[in-house]
Parts: sequence; C-alpha cells; structure tokens
Amino acid sequence: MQDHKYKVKIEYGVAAIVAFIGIFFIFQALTIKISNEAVGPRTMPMALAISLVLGAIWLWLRAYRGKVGAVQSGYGFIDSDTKRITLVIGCGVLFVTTFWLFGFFMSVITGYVAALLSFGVRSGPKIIISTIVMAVMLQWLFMGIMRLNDPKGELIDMRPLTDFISGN
Amino acid sequence: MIFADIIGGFQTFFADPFAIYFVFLAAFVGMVFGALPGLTAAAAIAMMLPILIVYNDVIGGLSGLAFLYVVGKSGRYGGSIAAILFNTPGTAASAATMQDGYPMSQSGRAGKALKTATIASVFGDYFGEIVLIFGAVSIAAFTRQFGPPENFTIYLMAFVVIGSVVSDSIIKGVISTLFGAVVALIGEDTITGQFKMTMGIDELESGMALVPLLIGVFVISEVIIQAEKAVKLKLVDLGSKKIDDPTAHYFTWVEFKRCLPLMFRSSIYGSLIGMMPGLGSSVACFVAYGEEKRRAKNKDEWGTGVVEGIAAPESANNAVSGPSMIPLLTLGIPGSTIAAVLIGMFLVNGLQVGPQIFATEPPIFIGGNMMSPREFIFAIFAGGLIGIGAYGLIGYFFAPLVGKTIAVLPTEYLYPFIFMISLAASYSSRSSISDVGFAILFGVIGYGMRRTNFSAAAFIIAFVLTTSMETAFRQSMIISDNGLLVFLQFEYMNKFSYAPIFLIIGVLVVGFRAYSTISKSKRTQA
Repeated sequence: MQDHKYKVKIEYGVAAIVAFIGIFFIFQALTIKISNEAVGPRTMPMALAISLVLGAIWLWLRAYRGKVGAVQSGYGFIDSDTKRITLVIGCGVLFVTTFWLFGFFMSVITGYVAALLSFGVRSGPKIIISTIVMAVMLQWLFMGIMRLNDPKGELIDMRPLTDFISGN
Repeated sequence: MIFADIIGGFQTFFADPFAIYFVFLAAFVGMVFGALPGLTAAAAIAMMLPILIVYNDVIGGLSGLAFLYVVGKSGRYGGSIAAILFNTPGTAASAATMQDGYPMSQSGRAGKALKTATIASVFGDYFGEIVLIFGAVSIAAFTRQFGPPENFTIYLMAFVVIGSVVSDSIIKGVISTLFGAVVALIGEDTITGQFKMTMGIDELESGMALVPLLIGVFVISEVIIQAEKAVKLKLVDLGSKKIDDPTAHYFTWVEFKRCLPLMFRSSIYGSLIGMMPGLGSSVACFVAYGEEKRRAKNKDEWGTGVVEGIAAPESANNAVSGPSMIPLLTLGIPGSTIAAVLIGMFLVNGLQVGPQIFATEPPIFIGGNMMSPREFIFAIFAGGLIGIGAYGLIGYFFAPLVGKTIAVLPTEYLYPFIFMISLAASYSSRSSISDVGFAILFGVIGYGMRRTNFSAAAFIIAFVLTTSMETAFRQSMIISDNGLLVFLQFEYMNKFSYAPIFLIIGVLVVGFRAYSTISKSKRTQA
C-alpha cells in the first residue's frame, strides 16, 4: 500500500515534468515564423508539443485514478543516493567550466580527480598517478591523434604546456 | 543472384586492408562491454562513434560500419558472461540466461554454461543473419516504389508501434517517442532553412547532435547509477569445486543434438521479434525461455541449471540482431538503438538508408574504391558473418578469462574513466563545449527516464527518424490535392498507395497492445 502511494506520488511528479516540457516546446514552437501554407515549419513541432501535454494529462489522470501498476524493482528514487548523483553531475559541470576557463587538459585533470573522489577513492598517490596517465592519454588521443580543435582557455591558455603531448 | 552478392561481399570485405582487424576488434570490444554489468553495446558504440567518424576516411567506411555492426552482435553475447558468472545480466537481453546459467555455475559447471551460451548465440546470430540477407533483399524490392505519403505513414506507424511496445507502459513509451521527436526538430528547417526552437543558443542552429544524446542517455545515466550502487561484482567460484562429471566444462555433442531443435525454434522467435521495430533481445529471450520451458518434458528442472535454459534465450536474443536491421534497410526505420546509430555512419559515407541501399547504381566512392551501394551492404553482411564467428571463437576459449578480468577491475576507477572518455567523446563530435553540457543534461534526463520506466531506446530512435518524417509529411502535403486525406487514400498521383494500410497496421498493433495490457491488469486484480 505504501509502495502504491509512493508510485502515485512519483507519477504526479512525472506528469508535471512532462507537462512542463510540452508547454516549454509549445512556446518554442510559437517563435517559429509561419508561412502562408497550412502546413509549414511550425506544424510538426506544435503537434508534438501539444501531444506531450496531452500525454501529461493522461499520466495525471492515471495517477489520479490510482491505476499506476505495481512498483517494479529499480523504480523511483527511494534507493537514490542524492549526494552521489549531485557529485557526479557536479563533476560534469566542473569539467565544462574548467574546459572553458583553462582548456581541455585541465578539464580532464579536475574532472577525473573529482570523479574519483565521488566514487570513493581516497588514496592520494593512486589519484595523482591515474590522473596524470588519464590526462596525458586523452590529450594525446583526442587532440594529438584525432586532431580535434584544442581551444584556448578563456582565463589561461595552457596549450603551450600541452602541445608536446598533442604533437603540435 | 543473392549467393553471387554474398560471395562478392566477401571479396569486397577481404579487399579492405583494415576490415578484418576491425571486425575482430569489435568482437572483443563488444563482448567486454556487454559483460560489464550496466554497460551495453549501445554505450560502447556511443563512445566510439565520434572516433570512427573522425577516422572514417583513413580506415574506410566499410571497416567503421562493420565495426559498429559487430559490436552490436558481440555486445548481446557478452551479456551472457555476466549473467552466468556474476548473477547480474550484463545487458537486459541476457536476463533470462541468468535463471539457469548462474545455478549451473554455482554447481561447478561454469565452463559448460559459458560454452552453451557461446554456441547458442552463434547459432542464433547466424540464423538471424541469413534471415536478414534473404528477407531484406526481397522486401526492399517491394518498398523501393514507396513515395512520401507511404514514407510518412511508415514513420508514423513505427513511432506508434515502437512507443507502444518498447516500455511496460504504452503511454510512457509514446511520450518517450514524442520527446525524442520534438528534440530532433530543434535547429534548421530542412525546407525553409529557418532556425527552429534554438532558444537563442547558436550551437543549436545546426540541431542537437546524436552523439551527446547517446552518451547522455546510455553512458552518463549509467555512470550515475553505478555511483549510487558502488558495489563490487562477486564472481562465482570457478575453480575450487571439484565434481566427477568429466564433461562439466564442455557443451557435449549429445547436448548439442538435444538442444538443436530448441535453438532452431528459439532463433525463429528471435528473428520474428527482431523484425518488429522496438521489440528487442530482452523480449525475445523471455519469450523463448518461457515457450521452451512450457514445451519441455523436464520443466521442473528448469531454473536449476539445465543447458536448454541457456540455449533457448541465447539463441533467441542473438537471432534478433540480423532481422532488427530489416526495417532499417527496407524502410529506413531503425528497429533498435544500434540500428539508429548506424544511420549516422551510413550518412557519413554518403549512403541514405532505405530500400535504395540495394541498388546497383549509382556507384559510390568508399574507402578509396568505387562500388555500388549493393556491393557495400553485402560487404557489411560478410563482415557480420565473420564477426559472429570471431566472437564465437573468442568467447568459446576466453569467456572465463574475460569474466575473471572484469571481476578484478576496480569499479571506482573504471567508471570515472568511462565518464571522462564519454565527456571527451561528446566534445569530439562537433568540437563544441556545449555538446558536453548537453551530454550531461541528457545524462540526468536519461537517469530520470530509467527511474520512472520511460524508454531511452524509443527516445533515440524517434530522435533519429523525425527529420525524415517531417520532410516526408511536408512533401506529401505539397503533392496532395486533398490535404491530410492523402494518407487515407489508396491512390495518389495516379499510383496505388499503401499509406492507409500502414496506418491500419499501427492502429491494430496499439489496439492489441492496449487490449493485452488491460487484460493483464484485470487478471492481476482478480
């Protein structure tokens, strides 16, 4: 019974999120300039966005009538470790921010150290050695071998220090 | 004609200096990723796709496509290693294998379980590949005549069918499809050239890229789940238990003969399920397991470690692989996530997937050689046939070693490593930092979808299909004299139209699915 109530509660939340996404895309679709034809560039985005809102209403009605089915293993967020989820997402955000400020090499270093810490690694020497290996390997693979654009950091340009790895 | 094409495919394949190496590499890589619990062939492909695209001109299109194709096959097989040795399905496709595979390992017969899984997988995969080759060519000859109205209704039918069958809940499957479709429409309009729903972000003017989306929903969401779990894999005891049976580590000839009819039937189930867009290996393995258990004389022994309980689901889940390409190659509809990703790789090589891929003209320039699309696709089939043998050989002799190696891998280093590779791979698709941000965003969305029973596969398939669907819809409107009625008429531009038939099929499938869901729900309540 408790499980069922929990699932109903989650399903209300899911319906709200789907409705929000649908409404968001309806507003986005309204920004598309329409042509004189009945069917233009706005038709399909608008139809899909409205369908999303209708889907959300269906989900809401299902939850309201309590017909959400049995709770299956892995459903919901009861077992979720919010701290760990936030840490992993934080590592990603740190990677993007460092990439923008200091370039690719530094982003791998900071992102990998943060990810190791998030996964519970606490051994200093292991963190240092594995991070150096990882950063050099990815710099060599992506910027050296694959010849991707290695943009300079907005704050500090670290590329003169890593060019020997990339082979530039 | 087809036999000559197959022989020609092998000749083209062996003429490529890289192809054979890439196929063996794919057999190994797919097997390892499949055996890693949580990671799937789709995750492996998502991470490797940008690298293959960058190197496409160097290695040639054939090697890259054959690599991705074989990773999909060996990834399905690799899942059985984890199911048998760790009691955790490496992929959803091997969940049924666990029921007899793990008890057999616990009783000291892990070798027999692994070899049974290998032989059954190879059998099923070869069966499916033959169905693909003969089926696709025949169906493509018919579907080649389709125009925009038929194409639109096929896409619409695929959306509805995939959405309704891919998830436990019809509405959630359909919403996953709608979400993928609306995200796909961000960017430049294919007909007028104006920018749509870009939210003022310049990077979105060229649309959302496939690679960050794939990486987000399949890899980053899995990294988040693994961070939550932080559990170590526990390998079954492979050595210490001594038993008298000299055949404990072999799949004997007698057992093979006993399982042959069962593997044949299971391969048929798998092939039929594989042809239907959206239904994948995870459905096939349970259907085959359930059906063969029902037919078995020793059904009481099933679940305690019988070879039949491994052979049936493994034949079925691998038999899905080939036929799941039939909708892609004959209608342009990817039947699975892996097929959806292959569309991108075909486009990189200048090939539009669909029935025209079996055309003998015009010749295309791939990997430094001129060849017809038909020669190219048969070379990929040849790569698939060789790839099945490759993962069969590697798996037969080295599956226990792969399992032991995975068991000692420190997950606290492995998943951060995968996380960094996936972020870098997101960047590499368009050299855009924004794409890394999108990958993280879709990682969070993918995590939420998995926790609330939405379908990531339906989302990705819809994302890949929608642009073509919109184009077909608007082209139909241009050629139509009666507006939307063109989809309901059996004739347009003085030729017969199959469009209403596809709409009827879509409605029937959804109706049947809704009926079975309601019946099941009533039975549960009773």
